[in-house]
Amino acid sequence: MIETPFFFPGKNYQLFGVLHQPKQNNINKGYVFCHPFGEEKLWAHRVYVNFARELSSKGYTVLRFDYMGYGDSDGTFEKTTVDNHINDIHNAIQEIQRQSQELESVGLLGLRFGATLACVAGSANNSIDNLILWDPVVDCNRYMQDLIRINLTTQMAVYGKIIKSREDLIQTLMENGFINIDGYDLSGVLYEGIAQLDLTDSIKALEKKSLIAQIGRPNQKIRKEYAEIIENNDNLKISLVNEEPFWREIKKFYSIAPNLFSNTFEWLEGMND
Amino acid sequence: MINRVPVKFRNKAGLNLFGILHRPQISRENGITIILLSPGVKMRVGPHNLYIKMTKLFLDMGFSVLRFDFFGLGDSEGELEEDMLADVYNHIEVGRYVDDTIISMDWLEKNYGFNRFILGGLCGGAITALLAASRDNRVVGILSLGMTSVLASFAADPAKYITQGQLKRLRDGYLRKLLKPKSWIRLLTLQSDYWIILKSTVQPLFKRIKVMLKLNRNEKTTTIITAKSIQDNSNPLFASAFFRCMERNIPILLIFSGADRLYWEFEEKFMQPRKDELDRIEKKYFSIHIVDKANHVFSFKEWQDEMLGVSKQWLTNIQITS
Repeated sequence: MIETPFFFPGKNYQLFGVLHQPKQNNINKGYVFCHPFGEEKLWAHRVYVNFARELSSKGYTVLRFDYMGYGDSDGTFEKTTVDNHINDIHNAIQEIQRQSQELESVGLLGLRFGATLACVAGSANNSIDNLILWDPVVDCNRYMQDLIRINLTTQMAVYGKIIKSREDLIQTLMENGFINIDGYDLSGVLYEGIAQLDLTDSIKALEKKSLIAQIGRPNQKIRKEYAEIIENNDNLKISLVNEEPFWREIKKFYSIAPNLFSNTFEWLEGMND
Repeated sequence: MINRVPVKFRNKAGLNLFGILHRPQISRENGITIILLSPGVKMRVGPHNLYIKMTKLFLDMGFSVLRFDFFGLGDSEGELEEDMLADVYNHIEVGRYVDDTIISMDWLEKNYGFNRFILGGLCGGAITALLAASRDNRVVGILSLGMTSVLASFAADPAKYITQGQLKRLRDGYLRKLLKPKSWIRLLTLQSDYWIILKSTVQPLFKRIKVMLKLNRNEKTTTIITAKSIQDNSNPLFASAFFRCMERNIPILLIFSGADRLYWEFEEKFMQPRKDELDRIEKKYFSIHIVDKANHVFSFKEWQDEMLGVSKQWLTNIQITS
């Protein structure tokens, strides 16, 4: 396979991406990878890289890229918004089509909040054929509250007490201030943009073939939030996958997620039949 | 940022390493390039894009900056064999990425003519910078954040990553110490680097015996007493690399986070036991700054600002010996 790191145009800034192109057996299908939020992106990075390589070895073209304010793309995290993220995904879709004009279809793959963004962007983009959603965040307001807990935990670790309560932190955000999540300065605009997203409606309306991979322990049951989504939607398939939460710091070093990869490939093969 | 380009170069094993090279608008006269070495398993941007913030400062100061991913990490090729994070960290701490670092300098010298480098990095990036600096004369400074002087686990054999030349130098040093009472006190009070002492002194002896007995080449003949067995998690390569850099007058800035165990470990397991040796070295080449209350990755903006301010001052005042 050929791997090319490059910059491509975003809205009014440059985005960084790596294009994985198969050397042979090109099946003229491509995927744009949408990365998760904050530090989850870095912990999951190697799994993304290796899945891109495996897809490419099977003939797919893949574009991995960084949203504005992340990784090597332009901009700072403080200025990112949900709209920026969605725009960046649309730009990446255009870019993979421009770089590989023989592609007959393009899909989106996302993990956690990246899957949420993939779903929102994919449902609004006619050129997207299908979605691979790895453990998507459905209730984004709850997700934001979980992230705020990281700030509270850091305060406890550093100061031995909570100096700014959850309410104080939300107040800061509402007054256009910033709060720190794992080193990322989250703005009120981004907080509100994410908290207002609810995947339930957009995914229910989705008419594209999609895989939801629920990641958890062996013998897990379908989570309620996913069960509600897949109800009466024949386009959605849910797969229960035994993997550890590799998007967080865990004791295990995760460079590949074998069960997740095999489940995803199984679904892809089903689509190709 | 101005004038940046994605780059790819091959390491010793032929694996492609990916990075970004940044060139400043106006270069400094001293022609020094800063290479930021990836921390732990995080890639070339560092936690919460810390390396991007550092790069911006260094570019504003007129330095060229290279950030790249070591093999098996980030976008680079290759795979790591370890299953546990602590074991990955351990391999880094004993020099897994020294060769990749030296190759990055070779590549910059060959393609851009750069031949003087400051190596910088957080945690695993910092120890890699120190170990590489002790082996390569092109390194003229070390900017260390959260230097780790201990081992995360005992999965790796440090001798796997050090050169025969280094082993010989260490062996000669240990032999000289045989006549020094202080060295015997250190040895008998469990303060020495037994692992390396054994590797550097016993290995040649075993090699001779092996030849004499005409043993099969593949047969394992050496016995390494690991640090684990003596309950000491000090990195056996740290002290020798540090003093080697001091001998060469390489300026080192050690920035630690006040709430991070790494400073306490550095203080208790390196500074205190080595007080006499440290008292003898010139302080102008070695400075420590502690960012009060900061966590390991300098999460809060005020901690980052302090770290960047101290780095800027050090880079401005740095005295480079030719």
